[in-house]
Amino acid sequence: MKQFSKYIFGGIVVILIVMSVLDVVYTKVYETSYPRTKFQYLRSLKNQKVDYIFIGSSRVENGIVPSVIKEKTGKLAVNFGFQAAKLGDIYELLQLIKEYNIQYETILIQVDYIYNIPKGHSTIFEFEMMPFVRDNAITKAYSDTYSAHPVANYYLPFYRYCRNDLKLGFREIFANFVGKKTNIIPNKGYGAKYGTSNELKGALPDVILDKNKMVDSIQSFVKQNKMKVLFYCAPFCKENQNQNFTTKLKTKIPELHDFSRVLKDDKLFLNCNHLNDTGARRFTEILTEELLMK
Amino acid sequence: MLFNSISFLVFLPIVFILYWWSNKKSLPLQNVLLLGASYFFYACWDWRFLFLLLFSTALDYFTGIKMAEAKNQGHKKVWFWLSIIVNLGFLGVFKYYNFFATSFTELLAGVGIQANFWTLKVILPVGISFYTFHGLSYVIDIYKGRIQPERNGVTYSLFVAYFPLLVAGPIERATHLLPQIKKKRVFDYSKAIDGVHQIIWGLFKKVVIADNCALFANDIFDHYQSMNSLSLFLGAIYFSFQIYGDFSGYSDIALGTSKLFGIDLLRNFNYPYFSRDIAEFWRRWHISLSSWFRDYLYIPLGGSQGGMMMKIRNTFIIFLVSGFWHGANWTFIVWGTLHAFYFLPLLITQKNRHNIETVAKEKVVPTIKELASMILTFCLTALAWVFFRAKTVSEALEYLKNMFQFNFKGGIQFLEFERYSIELLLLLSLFIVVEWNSREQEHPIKGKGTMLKALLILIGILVLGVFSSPADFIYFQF
Repeated sequence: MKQFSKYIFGGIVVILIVMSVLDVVYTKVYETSYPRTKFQYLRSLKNQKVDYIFIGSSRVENGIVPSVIKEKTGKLAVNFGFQAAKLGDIYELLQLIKEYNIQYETILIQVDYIYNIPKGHSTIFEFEMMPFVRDNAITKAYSDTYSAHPVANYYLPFYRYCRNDLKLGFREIFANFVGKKTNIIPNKGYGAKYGTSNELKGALPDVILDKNKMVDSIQSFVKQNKMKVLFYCAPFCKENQNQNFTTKLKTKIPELHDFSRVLKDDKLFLNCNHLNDTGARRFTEILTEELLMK
Repeated sequence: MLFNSISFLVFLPIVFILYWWSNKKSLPLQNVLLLGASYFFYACWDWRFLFLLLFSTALDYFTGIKMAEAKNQGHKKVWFWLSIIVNLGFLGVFKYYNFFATSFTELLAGVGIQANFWTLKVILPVGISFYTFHGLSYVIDIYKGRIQPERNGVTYSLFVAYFPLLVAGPIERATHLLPQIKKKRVFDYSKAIDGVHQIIWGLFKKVVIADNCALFANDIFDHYQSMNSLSLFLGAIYFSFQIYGDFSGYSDIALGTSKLFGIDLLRNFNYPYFSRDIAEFWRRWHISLSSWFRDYLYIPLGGSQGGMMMKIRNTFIIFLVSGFWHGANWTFIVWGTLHAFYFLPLLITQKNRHNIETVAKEKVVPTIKELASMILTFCLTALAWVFFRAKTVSEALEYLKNMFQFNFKGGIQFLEFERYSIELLLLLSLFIVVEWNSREQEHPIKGKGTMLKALLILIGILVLGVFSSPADFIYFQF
C-alpha cells in the first residue's frame, strides 16, 4: 500500500508539472503569435497609436468598417466590437486601453438596449481574454466577476485551457503556432455580414432602466483619465417597435449621438439590429461625416 | 455521478482509503463499506430509484432462498416465475410501456380504429436493464441448480449494486462475482496499478475519442439533410467510434476501478473493430451481454441443436431481443434485425466460429484478406449504427439514402460547430494504431514502458480531451 501511495502521489506531482508546462507553453504561444482573436489584436497594440477605437457589441463588430474611415479621413480606426458585449465588457475594454497604453484620438462607444442590462457579459470576450487572465489586475478582476471558476482559472495551471477546449484548445493553439491568419487584422476587427432577412421585425424595451451603475463607472473612469469618448447608438430597422427608447436613452446619456433612425432601406440590414456589409459601409460613411470629419 | 466527473474523482479516493483501512478489520466491514458506497453512488443519480433497486434486490434474494427451500418442483417454479415476472414487469413498465402503448395506438390507427392509450410520464431508472439482468441470471442459475442461493444479505446486495458495474455493466454472473465478494480481499499492488492504468485508458477513450467523435457525429446527424455523402459517411464512422470509445471506455473505467478494490469484473470489450466477421464482432462487443443472451436465451431455446431452421429462428430471436434490450424504439429493433441478417450467411455456411483467435496473432500487419474482412465487417457495423443513432427508422433510411447518392458536391464540408468534417480522421488513425498494437492484451498501458505510456496518454487527455461539453455515457440510457 505504501508503494501504491507513492506511485499515486508521484503521479499527481507529474500531472501538475505537465499541466504547468502546458500552461506556460500555451500562454506563451497566445502571447507571441500573430493575433487570431480580437483580444490578441488589442494586446498587440500595446504602446501603439491608433486614431479611432470603436467599442461595443456585435452592432459595432458588424456595423463599423475601418477601411471606409481610412478612405474618408486617412486615419486609422480599429473595431473592438464583441458579440453580445455588455457595458461591463465596455468598461473592461476602456481600462485595458489605458493599461496597455494604447494611444488614440477618440474612443467611440455604442450604447443601446444594453443600457437595460445591468449585469452579464460577452462569453466571446471572456474566452478570448482567458489566456491573458494573469496579464494584469484588470483581466483578473474581469475573470473574478464573470467567470464560472475564477479561482481555478487563475491558480490551477492549464485549467482554463481545458475548460475552453473547443475555443482555446489544441486546434487553436496549433493554428496560432503555425501562424494561420484570420481576418481580424486585415479588417481591423470588422466582421462583415451578408444577406438580408425577408421579414425585418424587432422591438426595443418599452421602458428604460432608472440607472445603470456601469454607465456611471464608465463615465467616471473616462473623466478621471481624461479620455476623449463619444457615445452613439447605431441604426435599427424602421419596423423596430419602441423606437423612442433611444430618446429615453438620451435623457440618461445626454451626449449620446443617436443614429438609430438614419437608415431606412431594409436592404441594408441583416436583421433588425444588425447591418449587412452594404449597410455597415453606408452607416460608417454617415458616422464619419457626422462625428469624425466635422 | 459520472466516472469522468470531479465528484467521482473525490468519491473514489475516499472509498478506496476507507476500504483498505477497514481491510484490517474484517471482510464484512469491507463489504458493508462497498455496499454503502454503492448505494450512495446510485442515490447521486436519483435517490428515489434507490427504493426500486432495494426492492429488486430483496425480491431476488428471497425468491432465491425460497426456491432452494421449496419442497417440490411446483413450489420452486412458483417462486421462480414470481421473480421473473416481477423483474420483467418493472423493466416493462419503466422501459417499454410507452413504446407498446404508442405502437399499438399507431397500429390501430393504421386500420382505422382510433384508440388512445395512456402514456406514462416516467423517467427510466438508470442501470435498470443491467441490474435486472444481474438478478435474472442469479435466479435462473438457482432454478437450474447451477448455484446455491446466497444467504448473506449484504453479500447478495453487493453483488447486485456494486458501484463500478451498477449503472452500465458489465453484466456479472453470480458464479464469477459472488465468490470474490465472499472472500476477504488483500491489497495487491500490481493489480491496483493495472487498475489505475486501465482507468486512464478508459478515460482517454471516453474524453478524447468518444467525446470528440460525439461533437462531429451529433453535428452531422442533426443536419444530415444538408450534408453531402462524404460527410454522411464520416458521420457513420464517427458515431461508430463514439459508441465504442464511450462504452468500452466506461467498461475500462469500471474494470479498473474494481481492480482497485481487489475484484475482477468480466471483460466487456476485446477490440471489436478488428473482427473479421460479424460473429467475431459479437464475441468481442459487449461480451457480458452477448454471453448472457447466449446462456440464458439462446441455449434454452435449443441453441445450435436441431435443424438449420431452428438455428436461424433462435439467432433472429437473440438479435431482436438484444436490439430491444437497448431501448424501446424501432430503431434498435431494426439494428438488431440487421445484425441477424449479417449473421445469417455465416450460420448457413457454418462459418460463424471460424475466427476465434486474435487477428494476425504475433504479427505486425494483417494479410490483405484479413484487412479486407476487417474493413468489410466495420462497414457493416457502421451502417447498422446509423439506425442505432437515428431518432426514427425513417430518419435512418433517409440518412442512408443520402449517403448512397454519392453526392460529393461541396467536398469537405464546414460543420456548424466550426470544424471541417474530416478533421478527426488523423486522431482516429492514431487511435487505431495504438489499439492494433495492443490487441493481444487487455489495454495498451501494459508491458514495457508502462509509466511512459501512462504519461503520454494523460497528456493526450489534457491536450485533446473534451471538457467544455462532455457527453453523457450513451449506455446509461439503457
